[in-house]
Amino acid sequence: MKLSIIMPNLLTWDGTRPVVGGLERMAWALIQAARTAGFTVDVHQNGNSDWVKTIDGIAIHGHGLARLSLLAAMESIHHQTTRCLYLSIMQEPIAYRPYSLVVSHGVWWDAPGLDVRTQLESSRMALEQAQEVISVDYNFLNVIRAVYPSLAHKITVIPNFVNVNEFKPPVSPRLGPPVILFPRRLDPARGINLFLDAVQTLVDVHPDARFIMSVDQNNGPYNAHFESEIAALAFRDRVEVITTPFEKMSELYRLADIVVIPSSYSEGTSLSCLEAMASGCAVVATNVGGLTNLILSEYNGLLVAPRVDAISQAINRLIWDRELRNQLSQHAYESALSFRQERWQRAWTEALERVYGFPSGVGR
Amino acid sequence: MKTRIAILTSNHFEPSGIRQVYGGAERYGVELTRLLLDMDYDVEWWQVGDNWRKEIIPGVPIRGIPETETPYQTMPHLNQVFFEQAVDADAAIYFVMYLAYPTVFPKSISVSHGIYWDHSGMDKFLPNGQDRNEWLRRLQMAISGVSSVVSVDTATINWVRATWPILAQKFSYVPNFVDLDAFYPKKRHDIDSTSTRVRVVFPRRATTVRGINEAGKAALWLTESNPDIEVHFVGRAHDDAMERTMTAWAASHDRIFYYWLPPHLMAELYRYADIVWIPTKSSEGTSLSCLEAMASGCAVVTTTVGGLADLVQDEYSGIVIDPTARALVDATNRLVNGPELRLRIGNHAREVAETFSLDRWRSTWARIIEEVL
Repeated sequence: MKLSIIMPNLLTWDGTRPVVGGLERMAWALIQAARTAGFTVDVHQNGNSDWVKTIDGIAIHGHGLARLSLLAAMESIHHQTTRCLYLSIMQEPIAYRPYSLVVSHGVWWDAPGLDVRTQLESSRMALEQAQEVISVDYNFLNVIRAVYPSLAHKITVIPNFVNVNEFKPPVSPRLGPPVILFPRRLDPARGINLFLDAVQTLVDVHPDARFIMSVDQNNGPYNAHFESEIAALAFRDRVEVITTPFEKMSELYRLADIVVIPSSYSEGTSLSCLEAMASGCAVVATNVGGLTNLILSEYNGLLVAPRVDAISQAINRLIWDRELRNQLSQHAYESALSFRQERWQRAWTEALERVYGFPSGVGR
Repeated sequence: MKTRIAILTSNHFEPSGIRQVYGGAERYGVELTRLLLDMDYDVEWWQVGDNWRKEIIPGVPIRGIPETETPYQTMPHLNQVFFEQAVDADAAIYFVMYLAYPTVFPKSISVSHGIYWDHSGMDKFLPNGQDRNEWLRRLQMAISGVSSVVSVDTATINWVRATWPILAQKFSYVPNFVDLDAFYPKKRHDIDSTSTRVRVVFPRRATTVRGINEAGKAALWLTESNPDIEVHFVGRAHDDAMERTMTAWAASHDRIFYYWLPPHLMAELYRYADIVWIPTKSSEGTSLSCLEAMASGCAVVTTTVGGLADLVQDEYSGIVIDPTARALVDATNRLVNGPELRLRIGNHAREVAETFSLDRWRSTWARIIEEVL
């Protein structure tokens, strides 16, 4: 049985390079899960011309109409597919296939200046038309329940996953001066400035601490802007900025004592947060979106308001209090195990079979 | 002279002033009063009532204001009279978020006890789009006016962030508390290892939003299919008639019980229980019942509603399900057939509950009060 995964861009719009991000990582994990369950999978995405690329036996279709209109590209996708899985509710296809599945990666309109009403409407359209919406966190579900109570039953929560064989605590305890890591993409939602402002208050108090930012290189202009911004900082020499290939990330987490996830909006069950937890780091996260589903404050991390003073106090407390740090990291590691990838895959396989039937032909 | 703090609530006592409603919010009110007295403030309360005057705890007055109207789910008249009567106070605490509409003290804090508008029943009170918008406008005004909002859960903060993003910065997350000395797990030597009996407890009010219907159905299926399971429904209903119905229903089914207990016996009940159901369908903050069950080392089965997600992580400190009878049965069977899972979840639940101490609640609240004053 063929299943088409629809998403913005698994590859760049010209089809030449993979795009690196949480959504794309989830897509590859989901492709694997669907294939294991017996589905034949292809991917449809936006392109700047019509193209087909095959990676690992998976046909990836670029739809060139996206250059003119994203909506038209979606129609082109609909013309070529039957069973659809909409991997991002933010794509707003407007018309959804019945008996389809839509994925919400968390509330995305919770930033000043966004049109709340329009975004809620687009969530409502997805909920009304699709068979089921899978949400990566409870927060999206709770917001929908508070706005459209009668639609909440269409949402199933499957939190994001972590590969606990790859992301695991260091064999021997971390020694040396404390390492504070910010492992996020350069996206305003991810709180780069909150982190830098917090670091500014800490550099003089903790002359031996290491502050590391591991950021992506997805977006040239954005990177250039960031470079010029940090070049002007008085404490520039205290912040190490690096780019780490995904396969080296687990090592980086094992080096870090404290990981900061200072998202200010649009956050689900963050993969970075889960990976830091599985690696036994002490996590400081904001109380935004799905982060509250991962961190129970004072138990397996510290949950704070997305404000500089709150984040800086939390980091400061963890630098001073090694005992607290150890206790939080132990519990973070233990609780991350319930987000292991095998569980995620089982829940997703059940969802696929519920909505699309059994690939062998039994069911719908 | 001492700094004076005036607190406005809707109903700490029933408006008649006779019976005390002793739920989670009322316990919260008493603890908050104690904290303010310990911080050396003068405290005075107001609520809906026929001009009576009583004491909320010895020495702390609470006065009734005879304003009962609730246009658009707010109480502007009550708010106005409070503002006039408490005018010489230095700061105000609005014990329910909407009570801060329309007029607020310059220095003020309001409290959110969780989202309560997340069920279709709200349409009875706000039957059309205009009414709903007017209610939202008033709620927005209530939040904008106060200096700070204390929320018992992150669900409310994130709903506000998804509704009026800028207002979210007024909020502080101060989860509810549990008395860790009163609520503790049963001692190992108290566990009768020869018994195969598994006790399930539903420690909530017998109401629709708390999932009584689903729990009732699940209890029937479970007790019929497994002679080792008994289910206890422990909590008052809305009225005498419903309580009689529940009692008759329980009486006609083996191993199903219905009764209620005074607060001081609840700790004993949790130690008697193996599995605790919190199958809430809507209107939930960081549930005290859930925290108490967790502190008692019970394996809790909860839903995703509101603040429950701040307490329970699926398969770690509890089992998280959709609020259906089928899901309750499946989760309960897993726990009944998996004593190790039950034990592991119960141990983690106790560990997690230990971070919800009254001391921590008091120090966080104290910091917020000091910031506002």
